[in-house]
Amino acid sequence: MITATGVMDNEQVYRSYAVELTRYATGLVGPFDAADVVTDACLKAFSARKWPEVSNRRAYLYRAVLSVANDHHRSTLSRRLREMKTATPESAPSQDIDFDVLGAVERLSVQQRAAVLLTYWADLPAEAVAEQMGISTGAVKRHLARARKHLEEWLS
Amino acid sequence: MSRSDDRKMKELADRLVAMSPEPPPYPEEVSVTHREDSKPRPVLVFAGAALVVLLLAAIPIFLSRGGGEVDPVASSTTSTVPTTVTTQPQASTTVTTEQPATTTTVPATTTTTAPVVETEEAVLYAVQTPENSFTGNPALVALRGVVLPGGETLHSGWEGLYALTMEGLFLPDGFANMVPSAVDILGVTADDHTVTVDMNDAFLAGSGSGLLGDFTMLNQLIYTTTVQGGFESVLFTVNGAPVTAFGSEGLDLSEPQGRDAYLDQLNSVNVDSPIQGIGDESLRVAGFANVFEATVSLEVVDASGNVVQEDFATATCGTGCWGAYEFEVDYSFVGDETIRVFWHSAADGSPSDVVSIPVLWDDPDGWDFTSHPGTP
Repeated sequence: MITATGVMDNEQVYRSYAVELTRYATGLVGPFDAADVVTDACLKAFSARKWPEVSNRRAYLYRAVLSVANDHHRSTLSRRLREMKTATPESAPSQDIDFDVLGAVERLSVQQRAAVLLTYWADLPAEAVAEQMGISTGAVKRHLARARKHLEEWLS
Repeated sequence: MSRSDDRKMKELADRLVAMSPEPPPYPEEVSVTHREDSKPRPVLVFAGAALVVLLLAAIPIFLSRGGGEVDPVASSTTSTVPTTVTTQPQASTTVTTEQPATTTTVPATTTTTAPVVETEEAVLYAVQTPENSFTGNPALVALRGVVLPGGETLHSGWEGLYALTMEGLFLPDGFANMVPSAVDILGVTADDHTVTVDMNDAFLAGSGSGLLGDFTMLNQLIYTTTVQGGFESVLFTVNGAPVTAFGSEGLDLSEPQGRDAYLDQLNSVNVDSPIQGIGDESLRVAGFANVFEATVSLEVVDASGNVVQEDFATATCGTGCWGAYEFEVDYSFVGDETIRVFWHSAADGSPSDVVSIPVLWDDPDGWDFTSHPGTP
């Protein structure tokens, strides 16, 4: 709902960005936990004291998703992958899981995944990625360099 | 990186994102409240009439225990929270926390609430006995973490100092606190340069473990008090009166004590850049040292004891004088690593006065100074 002042309410904000936030979260923590991460991130953002004054809500929600994703241990994806590989067909989720991609991404930290996604999926320049992640441009480049190094085997 | 590699990276990102599930439904049952204070304090969360009833029933208990402090044992979490309690779209109830954003899921289908305790960030200097020590002096190491607020205004802004006097302070393995738990802070005031810390009578007895222990206790208190705000010195008083006889040897503390007052009672290598929660970020390790040719060494040791990275830095002074050193450790931490800072013996090249600090990999808040009773 758009309020009389032209500001979107939380539900409208959520519906506007839920799809892309879920995609971003999928890139950060995999498809199994993406929905939970988005839900947690939105709750966190909506309840923040400064939320009503946030001008770029999309960027704020992206940061919230990264923050929540950061709290997921790297082992979570590894465990889920093991579970999936041993799961019976009936218990597997309906979406197509690309185990090769997930296996490669598992080698990356969440920060590295974020740098890769924002650079190659969202097509943001390094400066914008740095601002989005709250780190320096140099750190973004380091993350990308490390990600490339880790993915070298998979890419070759 | 070639354009071909860029294409492959983009393809990888696209394939990754293509696995995205449907977005979760809007959590319509969310009850959103906003904190009123920029400085977090202990807060009880209200989420409906049921809790109000519970709260009213609990008032006599709180009163009988001496007022508003919340028992950490009774809380479900010691994290800072945005006071939001919600029912997840799925069949579970979730208490969402803000820092760190951990999520506790309990098997329930109805909205529940839990008393929530907010924590305060604290930086304190702990003590470590170095390996291969030349002098036998303890090392000071700054640690960052969180404490439960004391519930009193005087502690606000001085959480690290408060933590050192806290009963049941938890420190990670290998660290100790020389400030006896009987010592209490009665008040803290500050001008532009000096912090005046008023203590109770127990302070006068010192550490209770001899002169070196007394020096170490003072170093801990002075460094912790001056870690912020650009303060240069600390004036200790007891019940508002100057301290003219402190500890086992009756040290005169009637003048403000700077960071250099007891430097020579410390290990030759000390660390004052709090190490914690850096994940994949590069890690800054800084401190002060008085070592041969001002050369300070650093190692990253993995959980198996293997040295996975090493570096050295030149302090601003050395071989008889104290200087500042700094490392920027560019390493992808995976957990359970230890940072070792030392100098190489001029005699045989062996690591000397070694300080070892575990790296917290995944907790941006640092150590929880309160959750584990007992002081090492």
